[in-house]
Amino acid sequence: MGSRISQRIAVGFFLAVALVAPAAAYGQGVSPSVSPTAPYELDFTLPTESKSGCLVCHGDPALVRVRDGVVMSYYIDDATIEASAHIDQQCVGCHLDFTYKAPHGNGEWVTTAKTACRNCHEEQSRAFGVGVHRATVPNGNGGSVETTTAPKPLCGDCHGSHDILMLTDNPDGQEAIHADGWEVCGSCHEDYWDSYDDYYHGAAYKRGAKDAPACWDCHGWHDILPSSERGSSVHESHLVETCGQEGCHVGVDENYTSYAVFIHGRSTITDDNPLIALVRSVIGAFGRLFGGGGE
Amino acid sequence: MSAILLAQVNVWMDAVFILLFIGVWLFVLFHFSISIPKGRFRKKWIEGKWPEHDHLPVFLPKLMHWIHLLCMLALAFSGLYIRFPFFDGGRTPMRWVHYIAMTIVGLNYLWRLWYAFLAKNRDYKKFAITKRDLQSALGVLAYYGYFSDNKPHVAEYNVMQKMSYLLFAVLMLAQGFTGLSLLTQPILFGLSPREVLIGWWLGPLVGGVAVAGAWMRVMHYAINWLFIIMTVVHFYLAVNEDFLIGMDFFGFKKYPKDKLVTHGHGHGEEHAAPAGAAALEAE
Repeated sequence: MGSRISQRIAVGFFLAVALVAPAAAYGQGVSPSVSPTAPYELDFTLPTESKSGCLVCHGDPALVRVRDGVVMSYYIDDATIEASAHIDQQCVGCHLDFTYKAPHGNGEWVTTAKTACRNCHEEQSRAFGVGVHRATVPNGNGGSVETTTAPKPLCGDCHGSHDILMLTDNPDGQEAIHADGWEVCGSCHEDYWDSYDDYYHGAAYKRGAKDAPACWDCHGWHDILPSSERGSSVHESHLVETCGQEGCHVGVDENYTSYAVFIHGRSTITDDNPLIALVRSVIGAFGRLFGGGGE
Repeated sequence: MSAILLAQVNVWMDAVFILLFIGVWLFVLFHFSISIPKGRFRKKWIEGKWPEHDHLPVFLPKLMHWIHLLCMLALAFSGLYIRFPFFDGGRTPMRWVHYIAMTIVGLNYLWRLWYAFLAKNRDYKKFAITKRDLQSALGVLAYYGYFSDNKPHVAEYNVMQKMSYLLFAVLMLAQGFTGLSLLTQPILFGLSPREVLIGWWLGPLVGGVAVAGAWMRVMHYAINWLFIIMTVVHFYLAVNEDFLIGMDFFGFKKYPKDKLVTHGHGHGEEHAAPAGAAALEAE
């Protein structure tokens, strides 16, 4: 008799808990298991190490975190990968420091991904190593030191990341990167970007002329050097070859290449023109006279 | 010749021609405003007393003028775009517009020459500057300068018109020459138009074929502005001096037949039968 009563009490207790607990939880509001701003410790294993494995989470457009008050998306569009040059690559082929935990890598996660290119693109990597954009340069003692505190571009900073297009024998990819002068060069070299405004090169390029040269068509790319260095393609000793390269100017000689000052110097020459200076001063005077402005 | 000079010349040309273009419009406005107190505005635009004509423009020159006008507008627009790209993505299409308009205007030019010299109704004499034309030049200038109200009339076109049209024809040749000199594609038995036209003589003079090409571009650009400025003046004078015949010439409105005269041109000057008038009337 006594045991039957205790059984009924036990059953009643569990039923009460089962009924009341969800209601209590609902009343308090459901808390996320991981705060969007907090570091997270989430050990997991992936079904496979392939893209489909990573995209189990990263294929979700809602995959975001809040970092320093900014919502960061960790979503990777599968279609972007499909269209890229690296469609056949594993995610971990570039994300070399991936670990089966979250956060996946160490603090160099982005840098690692942006420089992983060298493992396959050896020739380009070697060329990059002798250009001005190399991260370090050898000092006289055979070591290496940072030559400047300015941020150095990594492969991915110019070429992009998941959306990198095939360039070799791919007109679409070549056209796409040709149009990216601002993203590749201008966003860092803003002064040179602004001064690139002569009639037939810069002004036309910025208006999307496909036959106008992008920055690297003259300056070179992976092994790019400052124009003051003899190895630079825009050093005065190489202007004849650079201006006369296939698809550009014909019959180029040293006389002609001195005209190259105009390519980044139109605004300077315009500012120095006395007639234009006079017109500007007259317009300025009228502006002050009728606009009420003054200095 | 220094190519740095070439860069400065380009900037100078931009400044000079744009100012000149604005100046010409202001001058035209000023010239038109003077016609009000001088009574010419009232006489023409209110009382409708336009110059009288003894024959009407004929079809073929009207057609050729239309073709020429449309092509020149396309050439000026596309050419200025190539130098000053003012919208995105247009350089290649504008180059094609330029090439196509260039071809049509060139063929049209040849057609006009054929018409002027070889057609049944050839009219080259209408454009010939005679001794009488030269003698009338001062009088024509005085009329346009408002120093005189009588415009000497010795032929269908006055001496200033003849000079302008002939200059236009010469500039067309020069523009064709300078424009073809910009082409570097080896389309002439392995040689480019630039090499054939200027490479062998101008190249050595200015320090290379490429520099010579750059100077040809300078000339091409300068002549383009001359065309634009001359066309502004041509348009103004055509509208303000002889609106009715201009409307007929463009095919917008027939010249009133009751205004057609068989003798005399409404200026009170002695009449000299326009050269080739008989042939034109035969049409």
